[in-house]
Amino acid sequence: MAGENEIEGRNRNGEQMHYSSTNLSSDWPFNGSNDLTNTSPTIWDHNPTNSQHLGAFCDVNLQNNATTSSSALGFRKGNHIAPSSWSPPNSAVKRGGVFLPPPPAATSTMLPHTLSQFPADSGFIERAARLSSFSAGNFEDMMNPFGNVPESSLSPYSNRPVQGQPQDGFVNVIKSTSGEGSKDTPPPVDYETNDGSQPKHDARQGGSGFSGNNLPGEAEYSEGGQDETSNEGFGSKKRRRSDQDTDYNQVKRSSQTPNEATRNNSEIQQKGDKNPNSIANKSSGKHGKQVSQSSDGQKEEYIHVRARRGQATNSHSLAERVRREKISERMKFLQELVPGCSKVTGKAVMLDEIINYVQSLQRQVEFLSMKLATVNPRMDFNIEGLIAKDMLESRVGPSGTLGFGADMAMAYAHNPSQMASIMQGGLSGLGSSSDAVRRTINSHLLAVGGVYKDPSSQLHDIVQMGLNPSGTPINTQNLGSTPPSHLKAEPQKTF
Amino acid sequence: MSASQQLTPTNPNSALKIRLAYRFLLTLNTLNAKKPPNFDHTQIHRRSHRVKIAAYASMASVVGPKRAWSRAILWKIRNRGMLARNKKRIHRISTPIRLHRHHARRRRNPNRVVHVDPFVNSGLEVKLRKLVPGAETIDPCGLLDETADYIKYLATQVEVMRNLVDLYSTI
Repeated sequence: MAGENEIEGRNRNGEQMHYSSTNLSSDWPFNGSNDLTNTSPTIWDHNPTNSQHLGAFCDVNLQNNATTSSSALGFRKGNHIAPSSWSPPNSAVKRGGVFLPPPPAATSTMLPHTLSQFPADSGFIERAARLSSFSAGNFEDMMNPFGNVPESSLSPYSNRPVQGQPQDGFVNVIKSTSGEGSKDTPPPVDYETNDGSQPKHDARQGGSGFSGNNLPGEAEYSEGGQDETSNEGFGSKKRRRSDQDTDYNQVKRSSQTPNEATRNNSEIQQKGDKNPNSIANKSSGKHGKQVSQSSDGQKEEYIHVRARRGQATNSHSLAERVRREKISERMKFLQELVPGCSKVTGKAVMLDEIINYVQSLQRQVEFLSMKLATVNPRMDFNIEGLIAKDMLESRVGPSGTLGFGADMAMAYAHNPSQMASIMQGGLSGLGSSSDAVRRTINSHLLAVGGVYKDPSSQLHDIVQMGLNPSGTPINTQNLGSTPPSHLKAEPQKTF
Repeated sequence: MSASQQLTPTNPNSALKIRLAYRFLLTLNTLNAKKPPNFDHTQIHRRSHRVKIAAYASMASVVGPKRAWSRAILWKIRNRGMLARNKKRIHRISTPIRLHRHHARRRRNPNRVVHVDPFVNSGLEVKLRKLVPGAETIDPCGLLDETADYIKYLATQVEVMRNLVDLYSTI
């Protein structure tokens, strides 16, 4: 059940991947609690080369921690208060609605969103426990670049001053948490030694303990919902202590598993990259596509390179597999392009089909060019009829093949009346459709219309001007308004 | 722009069709201006050859130099005089490199079972390489890409030409 929720949440997040920070702020509050666990992978995909990459980093770290280790919860809490007191558009935050991020610091814009998003659900802890992939280790190492932190801020109580005096801003919070994180991981055993009954003491003792302290606060936030704002910071303190005993056990469980699972991880950034990908693997391919394009390349690579169970893992077979998948992907495209190829299975047969199609097309070009060479001495720019017929064909569908057969019989027939009789059906609707075409095309082509007074002399100019499809329909207009007499006269000069 | 974006099949692409038709008509027009057709057999043959070249040229010029096949077509058309003069040399140059490699491998150890997917080993790929212009030396993935693009444009061109023929025969 929780897994499904996660996937859905991921979906939603994937759609919002490209947000600027304003979108973020507006969107977060409405996202359900499910997003808690899921946002981190999507944000990981954020291209770190962005100017905002600092903010993205912070974000990711925060959320990773929040999902796994309880240490982030306190962090988050502190942050949650910070934006409201710190940045001008406090009222917006209180409403839980649009939050206009202050431009100067990217980190400042990113952080509040994570915060506002988190408190919605108390049950997220259990889900976090299941997401064993995220590590406190990540958190620590990622935060280090940000915190050049004096030891004083490392004490677990550093969070509380922030809550009490929100004016300090979340920068304080970052420092403190980063310090805690760094302090936290070296003795990971502390998580296990903690007792549910003494969370406070543990918190005072070291960074490892602060998780216990902060988590109940989280749970309490969930009760309050999203309306909680800066003043919540004070009230939450009291309530937190009352709630500690009940919630702490849960928290402990959640915090332990990720820690142990990821303690061994040396390459943190890589891991951070990989984990979302693996999750994306589980969720279907569709979801992967919705994620931002910058991340797509990475993600696809990972998806391809990953060896499934029982598959060979040496580099050659991996590369071979990648190649084969690429080929099959292209084959799918081709399958859509080549008619009658959709039912065929097997690459060899499909290739055969494709080759036949290409050959037939080339032969058709040859044949049609021959017919064009014979059939027509008069080259006038009557493209209107062409377009109209195109539209007709697209409407009717495969009538083109029939027409072609008829043409083959008539290949050398210069008698227009015969052809007219054959084409009657097709031409019947020509008037209306051509009108429609003209109307649609003329609207944006009138500007160029003056060029076309003398098509023969100025054609090359037009080509060099880079006139694209727009060039032709003008002609059609001219033709439509005035009978094609002057245009027809032009080729006759050549005789 | 990625290949997948370019290859997404769009239902009758009218803009593309119009562009193709425009180019083609331009070249046809100049062709007509140069040489008024008279209905001699050899004349017709030559003329149809010209029209064919015009068709391919219009296709390739619409695509521009961003595709291997269009580049190859344009190059061939531009140098067709030279190509006709020394066909053999060019042919030797343009034989696919991959072919040689495969033959060499087979000769070296005919009993070894090389497990490669049928795409490479069957002669189909070579066939396809011959069909798609400029695809002699690209890798299989690129070959399929090029083929898809080529098919797209070729089909559109055929449609345009067919419509033209219909049109002229009705006039």
